[in-house]
Amino acid sequence: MKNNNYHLLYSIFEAAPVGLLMVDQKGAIVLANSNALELFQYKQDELIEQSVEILIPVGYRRDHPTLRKEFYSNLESRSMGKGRDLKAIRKDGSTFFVEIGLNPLTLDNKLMVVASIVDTTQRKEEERKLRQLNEALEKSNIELQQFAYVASHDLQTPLRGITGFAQLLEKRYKEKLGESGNLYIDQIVLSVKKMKSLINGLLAYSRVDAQSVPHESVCLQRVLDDTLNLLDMDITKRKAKINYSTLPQVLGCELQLLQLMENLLSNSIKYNQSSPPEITIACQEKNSEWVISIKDNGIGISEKHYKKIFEIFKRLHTHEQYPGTGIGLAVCRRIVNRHGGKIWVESEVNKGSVFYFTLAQQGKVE
Amino acid sequence: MNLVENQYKVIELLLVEDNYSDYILTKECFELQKLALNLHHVVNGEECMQFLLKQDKYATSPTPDIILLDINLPVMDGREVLAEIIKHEKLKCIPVVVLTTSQADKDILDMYKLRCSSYLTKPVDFNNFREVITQLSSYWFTVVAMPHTDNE
Repeated sequence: MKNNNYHLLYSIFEAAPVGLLMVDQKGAIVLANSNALELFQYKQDELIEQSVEILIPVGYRRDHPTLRKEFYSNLESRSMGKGRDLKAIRKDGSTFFVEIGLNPLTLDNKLMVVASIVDTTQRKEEERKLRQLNEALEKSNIELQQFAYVASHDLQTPLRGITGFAQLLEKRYKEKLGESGNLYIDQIVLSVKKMKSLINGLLAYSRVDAQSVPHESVCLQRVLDDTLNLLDMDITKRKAKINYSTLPQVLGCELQLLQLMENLLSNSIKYNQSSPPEITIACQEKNSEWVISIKDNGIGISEKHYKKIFEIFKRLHTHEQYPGTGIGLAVCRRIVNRHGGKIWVESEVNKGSVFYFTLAQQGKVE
Repeated sequence: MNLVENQYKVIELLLVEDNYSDYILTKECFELQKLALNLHHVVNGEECMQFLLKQDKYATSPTPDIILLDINLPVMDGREVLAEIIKHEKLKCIPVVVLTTSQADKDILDMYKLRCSSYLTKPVDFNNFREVITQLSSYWFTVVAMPHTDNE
């Protein structure tokens, strides 16, 4: 290093977080920083004035001088071997994946090239693992969709056989069957109905993941209006009082949000012995998220069950007390999770429950 | 053919259904309609085509006035049947009603793209199933004008 310029250059070389090599027009290494020495496992004096080709795996070595000449005849900063998996070779002969950037530089009227080298072995490995995981996920998603199809189709055909023939039996032989015979048939038909609602519930549960990632702008108020329309019969029958403030615009999948609202509101009416049932839907902004709450004056849930109720097939009542499949709230949790939100409950037995869920505000996700 | 004539003609119906209990249930539903109807039954798409083309054991079969077609069938499925029927000038005027368990949007879309005449899902409950067959009968056998077929 003869003068200040060299010192400056050397300092910059050393400060760089990547391996740097300066190579002259003949391909001889002029300068190497410590990172480069470490990458290739050479000592400074083993590398200086050596041909840069010793760092290239044998198979590619022969073509390199030609490529080098091409670079000098068409000077520009560019990355090396774009679109290819580049490899470099260490002193001990082991190879590793690299990414190399090339920059022309004139020093003392001599044309040089500075090569910056990054070891990408670890990144490559991580990419490979990620790709593998993605493939596995994609495969399991396809299987899930196939499962949903099989469930909706193949499982229902035998059910139709069971109900169909039981009902035909009732139709043709009602007199002969007597009271208990008819009761048995009713039980067969009821059991099949239960089975069918279980299948439909499972289908809804598996569909949440099969559907594409939600991202459209959805008017939550319209979702609530649609939900209230869907539940009109229950609301009228129970003379339920519904209060709400106008709900905001959110990001998500309209169909899934409708399912979420419908499940939560129908629960508020179903698990409710007050007359009239009173349900209040509200929305608050918290930590730049929307927190939607659905408050009822229903039977309530004891604290030890706060988590359990969101698990699939977990129920707190028999089918006779309150009919249900134990899938509804599991679907709710899955939908909210898919939307990047949280769902929870706060409740007091015999007083009522408040179900909360969070949703991203429009324009604040992805 | 006009509506009056329709009432005097025996309807030849071809049911393509692989599930035996669904076949019996469908048959029972039609019998409850008390229609002048001959129900012919085949269990897959291949037999359906043999029936329509009057091949082998189906040499003396009538040309059906209407086909009730399931989608998921062994050997040759409902999609393939629809695609095949349309290739035959003599067969493509026969109304094909899809009668299936599947409610999948893709199946419905696929079958209409293949120009099925209508798509019906079989309800699990027998009374609802019967209602579907009643509706189907009243629509296709009394409301709709049917094309002439070569049974004369």
